This record gives sequence, C-alpha cells and structure tokens, in this order.
Amino acid sequence: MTSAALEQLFRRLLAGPASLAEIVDLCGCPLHEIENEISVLSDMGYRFERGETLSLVQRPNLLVAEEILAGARRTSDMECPWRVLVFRETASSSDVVAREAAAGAAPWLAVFAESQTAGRGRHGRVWQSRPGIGLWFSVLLDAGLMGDGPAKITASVAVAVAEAIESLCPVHCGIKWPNDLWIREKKVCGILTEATASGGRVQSVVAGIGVNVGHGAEDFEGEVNATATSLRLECGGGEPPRRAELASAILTRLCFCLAEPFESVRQRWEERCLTLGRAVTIETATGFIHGTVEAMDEEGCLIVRDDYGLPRVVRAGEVLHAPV
Amino acid sequence: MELKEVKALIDLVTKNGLSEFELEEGNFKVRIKKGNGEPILYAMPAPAAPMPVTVGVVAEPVSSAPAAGGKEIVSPMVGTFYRSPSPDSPSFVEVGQQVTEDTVVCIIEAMKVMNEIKSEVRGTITEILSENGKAVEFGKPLFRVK
Repeated sequence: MTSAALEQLFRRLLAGPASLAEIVDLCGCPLHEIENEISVLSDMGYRFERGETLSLVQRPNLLVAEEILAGARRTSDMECPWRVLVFRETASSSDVVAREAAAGAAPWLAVFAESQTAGRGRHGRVWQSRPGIGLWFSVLLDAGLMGDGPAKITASVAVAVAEAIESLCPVHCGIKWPNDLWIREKKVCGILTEATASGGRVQSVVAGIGVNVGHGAEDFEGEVNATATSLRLECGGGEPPRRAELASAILTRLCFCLAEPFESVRQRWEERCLTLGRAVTIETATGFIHGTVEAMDEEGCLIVRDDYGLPRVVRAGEVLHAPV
Repeated sequence: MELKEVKALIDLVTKNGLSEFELEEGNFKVRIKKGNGEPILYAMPAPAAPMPVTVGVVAEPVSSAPAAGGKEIVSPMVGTFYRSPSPDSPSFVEVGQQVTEDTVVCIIEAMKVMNEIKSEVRGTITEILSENGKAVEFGKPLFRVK
C-alpha cells in the first residue's frame, strides 16, 4: 500500500466507520493489500472493529506520518501543503530539516522525532526530548515569509501552537515574549527558529518546536523541574491530547496563521503575551534592562519603562519575569 | 555638520550611484538612503548609550561593498551579532580563515529567529568588525574578506 493510500485509509476511518468496498474504492488498491495494512496497523497498536463496516476504535501513542497528515487535512478547509516524515530517533529534527533544505527541499516539510539525542534551545541549550511523552518536530517554512520581518514567523508559530493546544486540551496558553508557551507560570513549549541568509536573501527558515505532552513531574530532569510543565500536568487530571492529534492540529493552525496578515496574528500574540505589564529583567545585547513592560509595538518589540524612567525598545533578549 | 556639507554628501552619493551611505562622526550620524531614484536623508544625533534600534528587515542590503583592502560582509538585518552557535562553542570563523560563499560566518538574532549568515564571498577573513553579543544595524560591516 502506498503512503498516499494509507493516508486515505486514515482519513476515511477518522471520519467514522466505512465499508471495505468503500475503502477499496477510496484507496485505489485491492482488498488483500488493505487487509495486509490493517494487520500491520494492528501490530502497531491500532485497534479495529469489524461488522458490516470497519471502524478504527483505538489508536496507539505513536507518531505515524500518514495519520498526522490525514488528521491535518481532515480538519482543514484550506489546502494543506505539508509533507511529513517521522524518525524514531535523530540528533535534532531541525538539523534533519536544515539538511533537507540545503539539498533543495521545498517548504512545508515537517519532520517529527520520537526522541532526539541532541534537542537544543537558544544558544545551544539542551532541550530534553525523551521518547513517547513529547512532540519534538521541525518545520521548513517558506523563506519568503521573512520578507515581513522575523516577528511574523515568531508570532505565527507561537500563536498557532497555542491555539492548537487549546483546541484539544482545557488549558490557557500564555506567551512569555517572544515565543515560549507557558501554562500557569511554567514552560510547556519552546520554539527556536533558525534561518540561513546569504547576501541579504533568506534561503531557508526552520522552526523547531518542542511541546511537553505526557510528562509526569518526575520526567523533567535537573533544574528544569522547577520551570517546566506538561499538558498532562496541567489538564486537570484528564488525559492529555494524543500526540498525533496535537501534531495534526498544529500543522493545520500553522497554515492558517502564516497565511494571515501580520497585524491580525500580532494582536492575538499580544493578547496572549504574559510579559506585558510585568516587572522584568531583560538580558539584551547591550546589557541588562530592569523595568516594567508597558506595551508591544506594531513590529512586536517590547516597550519597557526602565528603572530610571526611560522608555526602551527591546527587539531581542532573554526575558526574566519577576515573581508575581 | 553644516547644510552645505550634507548637500555635498548627497551629491557624492548620487554621482557614485550608491544606494546607501552612512557616516558617524563624534555624536553626529548621518545616513543617506536612495529610494525611487531620489536620495532620502535621515540625520540623527547618535544616542549617548547604545540602544536596540527598531528598523525592519530590508530584503536587499548593500552587500560586500568594496572597502579598504577587501570586501565587507554586512548585516542583512537589525539584530544581535553572535560569532558562535552557543557561548561554549568555537567561533564560526577566525581571522586568517579561508571562507567560501557558503561558509557560515555568524548568527544574527532578531525576535528569536537565529539567522545564520553566509559569507557570500570567497577569500580570507582579515578583520572582524563587530563585537560578539552586540546589537548590529542593517548594513553594519561584520567582517572584512580579502
């Protein structure tokens, strides 16, 4: 069975039970191939029920590219241009995507890793990415999007992930400027965007996204234990979303947010921005700024009233919120 | 700076077909940028203390303008200049190092987008013109290559 046919199978069964005749027709392959695929999927942990129709009744905690794509396309009226790859393990999904980009890959490629051996954050900090409990992935975006400035990408990706999480889980995602997603003062998602430019032309834009989904408190190692959280820990005792469903929802929202005018995304970014109004210390290229964040300007920069009463415009820097 | 000196500068820039020109002298700074064929002038006193500046990314900067003894790699955007991918790792390039068009020479960070900047020119790095961790503006020379 081809990948496209398998995606059709998922798409149909995610919508509800279907007769085998209908599935044969939709997938465009013979019945024995479909029976074979069902048996492979069953071995992976998918559970089917058969009567007059076939239904998919249970799905495993696995990332399967065709299911992620089927889910993304099912919930979207928009054309969903993604291509999806899933790796059992890689050093860093962003490195895989960057290599693909250098080799000429087109945008809208999403690479997921069940686990990363060298997941990273800003300035090479370690991003813990253990198997099975998180969504660790990177997306190759259209380099032309940088023409609207880097804030467009930073804001769109953060807002898309926040909106996708909230569509599946009863939490509120705030944003610590510029793009950390926080639930109740702890970090649930980190995003690092890496671009390459030559002679002023942006050649590729890769956004790496890490969402903590199924972690228990004991799953965070070392000092991040105090500052990190997961959807499981925040969703009020219920089950966190399945990672594949969350992946589909994020890919769908990314298409929407990146297609919107910057100002409309910027407003939703600002509404979610927890940093506004807060007392902060910001480590910038030119030193530390202590003060209170008064506003976000139309470019997405923070306007900070520093402790000397002077307004400062902050475009980049590490923000530390003072405790509330 | 007197008005007639500014005028002379504009004439010079127009005559030489430059699209952008910047001069900093003491606490005075002047930048001339051509748009729609006419020079546009921005003049401002340089701030006493450096502050992050809010200028958007411009799609086509003046790249590798000929300068004394080589070409310059200039910043294509406003942001923070980093010579290495992380504080603990070695610099992308050092003085004396050979570079090709595709050699990554630095990172410029803006809005948490880490932009890897490629050399775009072939040669040897002869000078590093910006300081690690400092804010750079659009068009700021970063490296000299010979």
